[in-house]
Amino acid sequence: MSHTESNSWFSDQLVGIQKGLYAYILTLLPWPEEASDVLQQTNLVLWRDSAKFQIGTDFRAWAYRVAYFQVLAQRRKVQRDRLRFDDALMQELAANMDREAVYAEEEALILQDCMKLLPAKDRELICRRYDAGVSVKTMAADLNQSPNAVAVKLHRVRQKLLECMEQRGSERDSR
Amino acid sequence: MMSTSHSDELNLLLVALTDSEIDRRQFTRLQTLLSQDPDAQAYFRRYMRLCALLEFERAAAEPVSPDAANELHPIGAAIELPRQVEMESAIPSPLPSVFHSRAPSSPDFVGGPVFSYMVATVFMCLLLFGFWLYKLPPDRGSSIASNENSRRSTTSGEESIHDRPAPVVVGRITGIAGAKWSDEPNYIAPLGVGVALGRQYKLKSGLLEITYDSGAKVILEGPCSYEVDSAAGGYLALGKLVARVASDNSRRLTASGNNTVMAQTPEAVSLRLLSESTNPQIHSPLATNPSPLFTVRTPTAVVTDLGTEFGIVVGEDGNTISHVFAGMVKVKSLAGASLEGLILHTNESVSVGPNSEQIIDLGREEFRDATFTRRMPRRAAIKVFSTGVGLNEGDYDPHWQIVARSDEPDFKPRLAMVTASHMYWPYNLPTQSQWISIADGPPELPDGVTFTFRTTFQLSNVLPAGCSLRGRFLVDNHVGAIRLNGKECSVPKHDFEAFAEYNDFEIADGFVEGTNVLEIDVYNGRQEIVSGETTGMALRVELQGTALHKGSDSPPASHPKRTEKIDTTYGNGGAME
Repeated sequence: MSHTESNSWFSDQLVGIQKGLYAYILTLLPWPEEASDVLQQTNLVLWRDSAKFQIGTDFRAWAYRVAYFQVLAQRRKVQRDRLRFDDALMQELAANMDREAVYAEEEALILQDCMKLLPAKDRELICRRYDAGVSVKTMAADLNQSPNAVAVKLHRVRQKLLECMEQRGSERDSR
Repeated sequence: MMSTSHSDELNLLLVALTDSEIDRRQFTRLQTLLSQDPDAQAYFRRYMRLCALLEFERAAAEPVSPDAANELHPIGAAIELPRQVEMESAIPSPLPSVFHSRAPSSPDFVGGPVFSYMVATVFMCLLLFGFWLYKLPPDRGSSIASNENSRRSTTSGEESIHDRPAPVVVGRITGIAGAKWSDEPNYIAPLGVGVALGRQYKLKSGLLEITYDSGAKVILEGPCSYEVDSAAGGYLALGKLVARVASDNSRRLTASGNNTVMAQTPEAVSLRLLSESTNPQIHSPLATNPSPLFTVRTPTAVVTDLGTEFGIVVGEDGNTISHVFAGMVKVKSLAGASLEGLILHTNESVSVGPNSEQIIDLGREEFRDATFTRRMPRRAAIKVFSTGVGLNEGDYDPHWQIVARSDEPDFKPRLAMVTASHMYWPYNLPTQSQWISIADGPPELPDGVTFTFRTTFQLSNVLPAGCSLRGRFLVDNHVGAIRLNGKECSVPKHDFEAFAEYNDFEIADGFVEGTNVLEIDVYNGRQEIVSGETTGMALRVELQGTALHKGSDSPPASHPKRTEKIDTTYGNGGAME
């Protein structure tokens, strides 16, 4: 019983920080496919080294540190043909993300509410891009628009979502 | 939260980054903006976090049924093989749910690298998990504990594992704080692990919380030795504990007819006393039909909870001090033949000696030193100081000193100064950390000399065993030693000229209550050459520390001191209140 329970505890912790961890990685390495790759690698390392983790210490901090090293390893692996933030900016982003990514779970709930408030057209745009995973080029062809126009529209919807989340976050803080 | 209104330029760059093809020039410009403008950087972080959440939330927003997914995407079906589903239902998944919930709904995604990696990772992790299951004994936590930290008094050490009866689990470990075991210092029992009847916990230091299935909680404080000898109690051979019987438990006992909701009314107590066995050894080890009342035995006494919270300290000689924080307990001396005991009320304490039948009532003054930890401590940050935070180059760092240099025996300690970075060093980040040295410059100092940097931090009302300090440093040229309170700590291996590489270190022991002194020796110059030249010397440190703050409570100040000591033999009815 104990092995599954301790395993379950670790698993719960790992599941609980996935959104924040992915956000952390994506900010340092702003290419979704690479970020996903690094997230998977980070999860593997965390799982493999689960025995090294001392319960009672900060699981999130440990996981983010592992993720940071995985990002660095990924940078080294494909450094030459990819655009990369420099070390100083990486460090600064990482230090701040350490603190902020803890809100990811809460923000995910707020995001769901904000999605419901979007105009139908905007929601459809986001859903196509993310839920259906359709590329901007394909969307542009379907909509008979230029890819850049679709990209700008998507950006504006994201801005609306950010504003909504900001407002809801402020409302929550003031309560 | 940060404002979302930012320059058109930044927004255009974000469009290019997320949904278009950003070119090198644009990316360089984005980096410059982010490096120079903290607001832009904060906005970027929020924006990327939103993008990440959108990726994650898409499955949650419109879940794709397995059937639909399989129909659309044969590769996707591979994840949901019945055998794997069966495995995953039987065991906690080692993988975050995201791997399962992000069912792809687009051919682009299925064929894409993210999906491939997901499939690969699922298989890798299942493989690792299977290997882990194969390698580990069925009760990892308990098996370590049973070998080293616990014994089972009903089974001999020679008994075959196959003959051993299945353990009777009577509770769970629900809290651990800085626990070190007497026999196996490095073992940490996982939270949530079952507590089996007969299990003995020998703590060298730290805290361990056991929650019985009945709802009663016991906080053990090391050094101590405690054996779980029934479903409602244990044997404290040495050390300190606090027991708390929750109101839920009271209700549960009510259901069995042995208690009432009004647990503290005299009627309730009377009923409970009536329900109690007259045998002071009622909690014989591994009793299978335990008393409904939570009871702690010690070498000299039996302390029975009558609701709701009490503490016990057992000394080396078996002397038992009992104190009631709230509610009542009954204390019986094992040395006496009498069957009665002494009832203690809130804020009352007694001592039961090993060689007498006496129960000595303690006043508050005598009891003052016996503080108990009544709540599991919370982990909180230690106020430590990274170098140069919030300062300008040329400022003295009030939190860091240089206290010695090896070529000047009479060197007078002085504050370190934030120095401009050398061309080979990473830039100073005033909000995060900066280079410090003996002067601004960076100063050129003689090779072959060691400079000792020092910072201090305060700890109060913490468990020293539960403190940890994590840090990383940049150095020109080399850190020779790190000491906490004079005790050498492990220094990560690093090159003498790797100025731009952070080196992580961690300190897990050597902390003290009060002022703690962290010292770092910095050697100037290359490893094997003392050239007589002068070169740059500086240190840059980032620190993070956490400590377990005691939830300790002394007996309340309102505790009335009794002027007379009641010298009563065990069971003296006159002592009963």
